[in-house]
Amino acid sequence: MELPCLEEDEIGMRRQLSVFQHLFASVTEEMGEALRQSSVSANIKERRDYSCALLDEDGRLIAHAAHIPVHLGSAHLTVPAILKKLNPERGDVVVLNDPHQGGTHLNDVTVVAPLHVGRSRVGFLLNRAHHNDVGGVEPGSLTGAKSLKEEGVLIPPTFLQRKGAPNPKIWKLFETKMREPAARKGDLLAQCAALHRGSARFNDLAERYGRRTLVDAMSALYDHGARLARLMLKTWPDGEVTTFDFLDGKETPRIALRLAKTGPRMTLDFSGTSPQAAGSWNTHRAVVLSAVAWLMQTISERELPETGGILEPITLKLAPRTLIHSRPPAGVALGNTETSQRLADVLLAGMRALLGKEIPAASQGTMNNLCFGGKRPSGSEFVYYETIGGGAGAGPGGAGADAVQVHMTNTLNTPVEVFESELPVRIIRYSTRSCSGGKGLHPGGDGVIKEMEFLKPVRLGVVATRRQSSPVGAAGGTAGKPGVDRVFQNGRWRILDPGEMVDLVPGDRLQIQTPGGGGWGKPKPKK
Amino acid sequence: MGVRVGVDTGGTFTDALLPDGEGSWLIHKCPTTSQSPSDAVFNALDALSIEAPSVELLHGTTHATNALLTGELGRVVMIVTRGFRDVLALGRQNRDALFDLETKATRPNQPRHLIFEAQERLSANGRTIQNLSRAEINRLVEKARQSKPQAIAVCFLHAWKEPKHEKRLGRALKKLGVPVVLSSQLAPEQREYERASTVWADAGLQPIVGPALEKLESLLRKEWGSKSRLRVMRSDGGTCSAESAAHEPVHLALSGPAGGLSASRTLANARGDSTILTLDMGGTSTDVALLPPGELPLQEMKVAGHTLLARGLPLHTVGAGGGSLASFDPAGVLQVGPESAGANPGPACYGRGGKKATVTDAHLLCGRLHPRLFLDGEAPLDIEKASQAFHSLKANPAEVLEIACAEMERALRRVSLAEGHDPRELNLYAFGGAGALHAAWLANRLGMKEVVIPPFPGAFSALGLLAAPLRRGFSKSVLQKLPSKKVRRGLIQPLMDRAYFELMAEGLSERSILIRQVLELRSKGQSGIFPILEGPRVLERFHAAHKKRFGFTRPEEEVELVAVRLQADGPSSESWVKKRARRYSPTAIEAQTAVFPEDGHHRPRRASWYRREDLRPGANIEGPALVAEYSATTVVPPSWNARIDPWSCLVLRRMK
Repeated sequence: MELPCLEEDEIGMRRQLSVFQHLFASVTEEMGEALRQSSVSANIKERRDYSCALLDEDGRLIAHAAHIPVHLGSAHLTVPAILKKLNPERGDVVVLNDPHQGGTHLNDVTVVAPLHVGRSRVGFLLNRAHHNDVGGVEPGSLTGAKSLKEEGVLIPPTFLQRKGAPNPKIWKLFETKMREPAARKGDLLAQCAALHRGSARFNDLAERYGRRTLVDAMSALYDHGARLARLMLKTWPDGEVTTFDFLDGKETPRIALRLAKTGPRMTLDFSGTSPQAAGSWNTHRAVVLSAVAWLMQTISERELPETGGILEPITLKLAPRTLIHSRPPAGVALGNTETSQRLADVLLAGMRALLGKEIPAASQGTMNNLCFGGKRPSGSEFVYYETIGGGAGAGPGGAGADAVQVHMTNTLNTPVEVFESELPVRIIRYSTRSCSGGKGLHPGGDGVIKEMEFLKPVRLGVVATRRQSSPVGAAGGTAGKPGVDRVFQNGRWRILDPGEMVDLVPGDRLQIQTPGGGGWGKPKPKK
Repeated sequence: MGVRVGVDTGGTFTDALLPDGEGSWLIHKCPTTSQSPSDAVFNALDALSIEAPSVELLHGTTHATNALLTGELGRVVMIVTRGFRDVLALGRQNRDALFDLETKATRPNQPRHLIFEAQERLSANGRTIQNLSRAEINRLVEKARQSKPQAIAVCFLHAWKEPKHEKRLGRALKKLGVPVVLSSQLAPEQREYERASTVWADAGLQPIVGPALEKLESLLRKEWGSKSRLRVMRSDGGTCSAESAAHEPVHLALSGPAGGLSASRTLANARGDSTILTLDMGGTSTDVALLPPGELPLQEMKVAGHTLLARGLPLHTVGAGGGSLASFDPAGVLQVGPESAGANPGPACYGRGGKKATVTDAHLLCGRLHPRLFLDGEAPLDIEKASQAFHSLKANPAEVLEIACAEMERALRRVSLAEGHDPRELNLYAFGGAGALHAAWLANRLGMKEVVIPPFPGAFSALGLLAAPLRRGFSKSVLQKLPSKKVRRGLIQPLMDRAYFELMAEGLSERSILIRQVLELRSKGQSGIFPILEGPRVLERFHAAHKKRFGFTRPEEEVELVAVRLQADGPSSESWVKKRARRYSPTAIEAQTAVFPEDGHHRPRRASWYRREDLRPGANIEGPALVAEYSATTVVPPSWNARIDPWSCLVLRRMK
């Protein structure tokens, strides 16, 4: 049997890149699995509000097991922020949640461990998980705050573990300054266990391939992402478009975008965005990067490698002290949820202007955050947080999906049976919201109606947008219906003000109606 | 005397195996007839020319899986608690893929006008909040009747805790004369969407699967007499009669691959292996599973995007198989999959019109498949076509193999480490048409000790059918602090009664039934569940398992009993025959050049070819070598050796 003579491929790492892509992904997947299985709170184990990453020695993202798009771009900024203050060595673990020093919002507690081969540090492992509470003014730490300070405990990059020994000060913070301390500690422990598992896996690779090869592979994977991203941009038409959208509220904060695409590069200029404001709607570069990474992945026909390289051809222009590039004392708790969704909407609107009707209509554009807390008869506290799906925008391929999580999140709901067995609340109705999707050749997806009755006193807040504006249609389709949040109190229904905190007593009800998605294409005339 | 024959319907081939009475088997493979699968079953049976007064056909069927994949299910009426009509449409609110521009979310496709709400409500602890009245029952029965359903599914909120409302409605619905599926009976577990999706699938499958199995059994009886019987493989690795399969068809959702897993475990028991990792690599996909000794870690299944609360063997499917396509991404990096040449046209070398380079073509070009020994020469492989495919792609076949190997390595790691097992402590059982081509390589990369290639690797699921016991599984959600042994006994007893009743109805004697009682435990608040056999020192064994998987224990936290589960088995039908093995060196049939990237380079070297059918127990072969047989080819890399063990397995080990 004669073997065919084949031209030798380009020598070097590129030949084996797919191999390392699988091997590095395997490290982050294993971390994620360890975290999910050993964590304590429903938000991590059931709703999977976490992500795991492998970074190179400069902190560039190399592999990512992400379940949450809002974490996609944020890992890039974490290690550089740590290295400004600390020099992690073997056996160290760093913890942080400071949004302006490598974090996202305070609830996302991030732990980072360095990776060593022999004496040299070759990279880092990171995992980030949303803790139900971090000691903010209101249960859940997402609502009611006027500034960053009121949103909870702020942890700048700090050693959680130094040469294998735990730092009791940090553990004490989790124990004394946050609600449900046992769950907080259990989840933090699970995060550390996940780092441990990831490190063990990476060490196996180091044994197999040696330091040089792994370092080369990481760098080649990063470059590969950049190359694929540039090739994708080249296929788009050149052009410059401007667009903007609003968040709800009296001041209607505005996100403005000027998108300029030339050849393999794209500039996203957000400098016309409103100044940062009181409350928690502000956000910062990490979340903007996440939204851009999400956009690149979503527009790409084949999955791009989840490396930082895919952001390489993008130039981001942010003006300081604006809504999406805030500085303390601006609060940021809702930036991850609401502002990130609006960023996605604005980016898609830009793409719609650039690429035309290939781009679907707008989706619900909110996460419908529900937060409440109270005391059980036994005196122990409970805190609940969830996000609720809505209508997806329709596109050239068909109708929009009903009742789903869109864009920057994909967390699961809590089953009604689990919800009712753990909390003194009864769900009265959980259904799709008929006729809430926009009309069109392809109709937009319907939103959700969730109604519940409280059996014990609670303090509650709904943080959501698209209550004052609608998800737009595309290519001639009409907009979806905006959402509505109502409470039944003192014998009557009333609509909640944006961001309002309300105290409810047994028998009171809450009803959330989430927005529908926009329709796509001109509706067929009725005969 | 009657004979037993195993027939497994796969995506590409239908495989039949008939024991020859001397510890070996007759085999035949023929193309699957997807329009009418029973045609291929009878084609395969005919080819074996069975002459016997009666036949017991053990069957791995794809009826249920295909019906779920295509959505061709019966007309179902669904009845749910008031306020929750959209339980199926809402699902768990997640979309299928994070990054699709157009959002898609797979949900059961149940028409909304066939879902009715019942005025009834229970609390989370099973207390009645609103009673299900007589009048309401009458109204629902009437509404259902008018809808002319083929089956009815009922799922009330909290019915897993308190089934009284479902039971009362179920009794009343019986008079409509169609199957009625109650969530509290089929899947008494917490989580309403998953339970609803399970009863919906079961009700939808009943009108499809029942008649198909009935037809097959009657054809069987027509040909081989009225004593002939059909037994069907369940997703949990046991078999049941056609009648009871038709009654709860949701248990057949993963009937196909279960045979191979079940057979691997019984073979591992015979060989004295502890936990094993299985690799079933076929044409379009690869299934990986971790099988500990004793209690099989059954878990809920996801089939065609639908969650089913029926227990199945713990399969993890990777979209890479022999037919996976090699291609360059736009930046010039070689990729394997996820696209596949599928069963049709298949790899370029099959000569059925495929033009694209696949993993199978790469093996052929690397000299790891023999063009004329494949399927005994029934379908010669075309080197020229494979070579053309790689020339036009401008790729190196050995590198394609390396990428396919890395992808499978990732899958094997994910599966073994998720359960806290270090692959270095495990043996790899490899089968499927392509498993033995990659097995030694993977074992090398994962540091595994030993690779076992069972007899008939390309038809191993059919072999598993012959070895599988009759089986029933029962479970009951409990969700409370681990109670005393006495209380547990009270929880388990009703399940025991049901298990004996159902298996004795299948003709087993009480004494031959083996029951395993499993406690599904977790540390309070965590989601990771540990199956622990009922017996002494339950807590101690739980903490040890927790430590093994997570690396730490939480002795201060309460241990919760999530569910009690029973696995009731009849006797295993076929035991593995151990033969005398005397070490000898067989003669090669020829020597050819082949590439072994296992060795870290791509230089071709001489390797001997052997025919597995010629090898007796005790045969010892040193790598580099290749062993061809009817249904598969085994690669023995350099510095590995292979021997036939007393159970007729080909066992590969790294030489010191």
